[in-house]
Parts: sequence; structure tokens; C-alpha cells
Amino acid sequence: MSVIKSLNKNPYGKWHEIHDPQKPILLAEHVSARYDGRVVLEDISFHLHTGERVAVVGPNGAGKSTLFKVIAGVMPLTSGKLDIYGADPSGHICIGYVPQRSQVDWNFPVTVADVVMMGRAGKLGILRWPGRPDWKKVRQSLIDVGLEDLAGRQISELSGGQQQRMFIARTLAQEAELLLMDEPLTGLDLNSQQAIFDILETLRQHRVTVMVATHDLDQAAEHFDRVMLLNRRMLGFGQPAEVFTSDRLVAAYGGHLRLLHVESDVLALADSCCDEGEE
Amino acid sequence: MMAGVLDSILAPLQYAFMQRGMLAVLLVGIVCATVGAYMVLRGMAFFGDALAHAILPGIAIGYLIGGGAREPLFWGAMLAALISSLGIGAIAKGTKLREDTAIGIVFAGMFALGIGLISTVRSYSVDLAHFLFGDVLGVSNSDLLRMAILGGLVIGGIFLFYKEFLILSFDPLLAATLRLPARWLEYLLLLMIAVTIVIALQTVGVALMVAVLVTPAAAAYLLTRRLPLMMALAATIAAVSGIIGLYISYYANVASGAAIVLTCTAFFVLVWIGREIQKRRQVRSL
Repeated sequence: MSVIKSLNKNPYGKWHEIHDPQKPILLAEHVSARYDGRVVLEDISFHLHTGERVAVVGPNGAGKSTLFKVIAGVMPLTSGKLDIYGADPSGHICIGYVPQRSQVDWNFPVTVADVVMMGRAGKLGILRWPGRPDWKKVRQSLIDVGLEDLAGRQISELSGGQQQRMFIARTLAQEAELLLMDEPLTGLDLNSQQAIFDILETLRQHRVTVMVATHDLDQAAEHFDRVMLLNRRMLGFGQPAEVFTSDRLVAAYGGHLRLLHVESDVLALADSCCDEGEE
Repeated sequence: MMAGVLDSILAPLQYAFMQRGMLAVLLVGIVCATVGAYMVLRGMAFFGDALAHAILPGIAIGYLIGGGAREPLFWGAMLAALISSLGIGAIAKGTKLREDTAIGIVFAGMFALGIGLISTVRSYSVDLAHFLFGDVLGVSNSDLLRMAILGGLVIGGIFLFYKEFLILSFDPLLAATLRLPARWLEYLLLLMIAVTIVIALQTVGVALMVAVLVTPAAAAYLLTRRLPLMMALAATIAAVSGIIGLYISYYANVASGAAIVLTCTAFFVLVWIGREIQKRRQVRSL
């Protein structure tokens, strides 16, 4: 009995001992990472403020997914230091990851509520079944993203935007404080995109910090507090107007970018996104 | 007429070996189909088939050492299953070959080793057939007990770690961010698959094993979109197929393993046709 109790108290690791909200939610110093022996991230340094919304833009293969995986603590750094609330990310369960839609098996036999409940597993720990508070939390998370009527649907019955909202609800159920979204807007119509931005606005009120990988420079400039321009190295991080200058964009996108100078504004046409994931 | 039907249902049950056979196919069906649900969802059908074949040298060694006693057969099979799973993992990781290639290499090598070992024994053709195609009517009471205990452990494991296996199968990245002990759970799943195969060995044999693991679960997958229901349906289909197969085997004098597997296949085809008809109707009514 005491074994089970101690397992419950300390479900999958010692995550609750190293969660210090006094420290910055994310602090990266000279982070480098390799994938398949290739350097995909080099010397990245930045920190995030709690509750802010950051867009990460860059061409395919720029290392956006790798950066997210390193931040989530599911991929090792080769050098540098990255802390979430003052400790290595691999000890935290407060990081929510919203996968690219193309990487999900939508025919998997689970309902919307089942998927959202998966987010509770970290708090529940091993050998424990969800109780009434967990179901309440799942229901509230579904209400927050406007999916409460679809809770019992199999996940392939959802539209693209609803699928994305379901995964956001899962991070709410997880009580994630840092949300990483990999290309959440790709392939969605304008209404669905707007619905997601509305939810991100509510997340801000809950002091959830959000990082979104996107290909759309216009959206990045319009809907985010800060933008990060990434192509293996960090080529800029700050207000959209400071970062999206023509020379920086050319540096990030190289020949794949066309710049249109319309009156005094720079219009950038980034490379069109493809569905092959970047690793 | 009714009495006649009842009679032909009850008639085989007057034999103790048929009673034991019925219990064995029920047990095996339930365990195989439940584990099989995860194998279908995770795309592990080929792995299951390979692992079933790869245990043959373990059985052969157990047979040579034990002279026909059951216990050494069981441990030999378990050992061979573990070595094969680890070998597949090591080759896939160490050489960057695709995993299905690694499975092919290990599966064929181990199976050949098994046949080679068995062929050194004089009366090998009879025994080899038992291992390859099962011998459900030869199940003893102690075999049944062992099946029940091990099967109970496997079902218990699936039940206890339900939410962990669900997350790991649906979204490994979530499993990683929630810090689930993913590697440990993967090994546990492989171990449970290995135990399941060893339990089912006597009923269907090595060659047809994958059908009992995968076919009922696949039929259930077509019928429902909820995992617990899929497992329950798969177990039911497998158990019913086992019983029907055994009757067919009794009356038509067909090899029992083949009869069971063919019944599973018939269930799958029926479900598939039913789904197609339903789809056509839905399209027409729109």
C-alpha cells in the first residue's frame, strides 16, 4: 500500500519539486541541438515573459520543431542551457505540446473527451484512474474551447479547426503553463484561424505563455507580442516591426523569399509551406 | 429438431479433452484479442507474426532438454521471445535499417534455427506439426492453469496501465512531455505480447498465431470507435470464433487451429461486408 501511495505522490518523476514560478518561465542560453548528426539549432539565447505570445517563423527545416522539442524536454541539447521555471525541462509536466495535425492518427478509436483526458495523466500518476475532479476539468477545458457538444465524437469527425481546439483543450486539462503549437494554423480557413486566436486571447488571461510555429509572416506580425526569426540560428527576436526587416528576412529565407516593396512597406512572401514535416 | 441441435452442441462436451479445449480457446481468444487491439492500432501485426515464429528455437531447446515436459517449453519460448525482441531493437537502432527489415532478419533466422533443432530429433515431423499448428485437444489441466494465471496477468497489465498505453499509442510526444516512463512501458508491452504468444502456442500454433492476435481486433476496429469497446468486441469475436472453430474441427474433422482462424477470418469478412452495405445505404439516403 505504501508503495502505491509513494508512486502516486511522485507519479512519473520529481517534477513538483523543481517548479519555481519566481524564475523566468523559459530561459535559453547558447542552446545548440543536433538531429541525425546535423546541427539544426545553433547558439540560441532568449527568455520569455509569463503570459506573452510569441510566433516562431522560419523556412522549412529552420529548426522550429526541434526548438520546440528541446523546450519540451523531449530532445537533448548538445550544448548550452535551457531552464523552465529554473530547472531542466525534462522534469516539468507544465509544458503542453500541440502536434502538427498531419502527425496524428485521426482514425484512432478515441473520443474528443478521451483525448482531452489524456492531459490529466501527468497529474494523476501511475496506477490511478481519473476521478470526478478530472472529468470536471476535462469538461471545463472543452467548454473553454467551445467543444463541449462534441465531447463524445470520434476525433475524425471534427473539422481541422476543431481538431486543433481539442488539442488546446488537452493542454488546458494538463494545466500547462507553457504552450508549444507546431503549425496550428496550416490548412485552416480564416474563421477557424480566428477561433484559435480568440482562444489564445483567453489563454493570455490565464497567464499561459504561448509559442506558435508558423509560416505566415502577416499573422505573426498581427497577432503576436514578439516574433522570433529562425533559421538554424536566431536571426531576430522582438517586436514584429523590428524583426521583419528586409535584410533579416532575406538572411532567414535566402532565395526562397520574394520581397515586394509596396510604397514604404515591405511585403514578404515566404516560401509556401509543405506538408512534409521538418525535423 | 431442437433436441437434435442441443444434442450436437452437447455431444462433444462429454469428453474431458473437449471441455479443456473449449476453456483454452476461450482464454486464449480473450487474451490475444485484447493485446491484439494495441497491435492493430500500433501497426505491429508483422512484429507479432515474427515474434510467434521466432520462439520456435526456444521451444525446440525446451523440448530437447525436457523430453516433452511442458514447463521447459514455456520458459524456452519466453527466452526466445525476449532475445528476439531485443535483437530486433538492437539491429534497428545499431544499423539504421528499417525496423521491418530487422524483424525479417531475426524472424527468419530464429525460425530456421528452430526447425533445424527440431529436425535433429527423430520423430520431428509429428511434434513440429504440433508446434506449428497447435494441439488444443492435448491441453492438460496444468496447462489450463498456467494459461489462466498468465492470461490474467496480461489482462491485468492492460487494465492497470490502460491510460499509459493509450497515450503511448496515440501520441508518443504527449507521453514524453507528461514524463511517462515510455521505454519501460514499451518493454512491458513487448513482454505482454510475448507472454500472450506463448499462452496461445498450444491452441493455434506458431504459424497461425498472428490471425488470433490481429483478425478479431481488426474486425472490432471496423465496428466501433472506442478503444474499451473495441477490446471487448475483439475478445468476444475471438472467444466465439474459438468455440465455433472447435465444433467445426470436431464435426468436420478439420485441424482445430485452422478451423479457429478461418472462423475469425469469416467474422472479419462478414463485418467488412456489413460495413460496406451500411455505407452504401448511407450514401443513398443522403
